[in-house]
Amino acid sequence: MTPSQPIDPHALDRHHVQGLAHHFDDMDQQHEAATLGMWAFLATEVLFFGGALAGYAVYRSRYGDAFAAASHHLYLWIGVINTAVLLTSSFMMALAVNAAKHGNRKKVVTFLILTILLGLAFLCIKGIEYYLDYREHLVPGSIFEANWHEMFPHIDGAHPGSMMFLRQVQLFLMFYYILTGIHAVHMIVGISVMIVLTVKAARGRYTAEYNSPIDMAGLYWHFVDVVWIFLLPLLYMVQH
Amino acid sequence: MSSQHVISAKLYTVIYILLMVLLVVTVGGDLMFESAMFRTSFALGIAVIKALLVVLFFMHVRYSSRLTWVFAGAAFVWLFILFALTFNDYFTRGTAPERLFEAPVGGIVVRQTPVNPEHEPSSVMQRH
Repeated sequence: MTPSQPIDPHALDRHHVQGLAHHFDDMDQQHEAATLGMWAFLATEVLFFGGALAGYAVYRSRYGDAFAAASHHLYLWIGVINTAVLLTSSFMMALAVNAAKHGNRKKVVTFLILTILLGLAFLCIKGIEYYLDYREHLVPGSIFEANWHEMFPHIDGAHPGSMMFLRQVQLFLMFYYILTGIHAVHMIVGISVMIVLTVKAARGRYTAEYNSPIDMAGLYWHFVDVVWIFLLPLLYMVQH
Repeated sequence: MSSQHVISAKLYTVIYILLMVLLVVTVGGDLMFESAMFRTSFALGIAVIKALLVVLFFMHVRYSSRLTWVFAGAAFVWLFILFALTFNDYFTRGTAPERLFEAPVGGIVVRQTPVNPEHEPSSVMQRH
C-alpha cells in the first residue's frame, strides 16, 4: 500500500462481520453482553410484578374468604385455555430462535408470525373474558356496588362485617384487573417488537451468526409467559 | 456458526409437551383434591416447576454462562427479599385494622342509616 492511496476503513477492521458492533471483539462477546443486559432488565421486571404480587399475597393472607369467593366468579376455563395458547406461543418463539441459529430465514419468519398470531389470540380471549366479567358486574366501584346482590345473594349488606367482605371482594377484583392488565400491556409490547423483527428477518437482516435480537425478544416473551404461569393459580384457583 | 449452544427443536418439543401435561395436572388437581391448603400448594408447586422449565430451557439459562446464571438468579434473590421482609413486617407487627377493608376491633355499631351523612367519612359502600 503506497501512502498516497486512500485508506479503506473496512480493510482496517479485522472483524468486520454483518451485525457486529465495533466495540465488541466477536459475536460471542456481543451475544453475551446482550443476554446479560436482557436479564438485568428482566430482573427489574420480576420486581415490578413482584411488588404487585407481594401486595396481593399480604391481602390474600388476611382476606382469604373474600378472595376465594371472588375468584370463584372468574372463568377458570378461559384462564386455562389462555395458558395453553400462551405456552404454545412460547413454543413457537423457541422454534423461531432455533431456526434463527440455523440461519433458516423462511422458518424464522413463519414461527415469528405464528408467535404473534397466538399472542393476539391470547389478547382477544382476554378481551372477551373482560367483557364477560363486565357483563356479570365484576367491576370494582359503582357497577359492583349496584349489583353485588346478584353475585352474593346470601350477604346482608347492612351488616358492617358484610360491607367489609364486599370491599375485600372488590380489592381482589382490583388485583385481578391490574395484574392481568399489566401482563396484557407486556404482551402488546412483545407483539410490537416481534412485528419489527419479522419484517427485519424477512429482509434477511439475521444470519446464523447474527441473531441476538430474536434471541433477546424470545427471552422477553418467555418471561411474560412465566408471569402468566403464576397468575393462573393465583387469580383463578384461590382456595380457602 | 458461533459457539452459542443451540437447543434442538426436539428438546423444545419435549419441554412443550411437559408444560401442557403440567397444565392439565394443575386443573385436575384443582378439581380433584379436597383440602384447600393442599390445592393451593399443589397449584403453586406446579407453577414453579413450569416456570423452571421455561427459564432453564426456553430461555436456555441451563446452557448459558455462569454470569447469566448470576444475573437471572439475582432477580429471584431480590424477589425473595421483597417477600421475606414484607411478610416479616405484616406477620409480626400486629398492625391496626385497615379502615377501608376491616371492621374496627371491639364492638361494631350496627345502624340502618348514618346519623349524619354529611359527616360520615367518604367510603365506597356507604354511598350505595
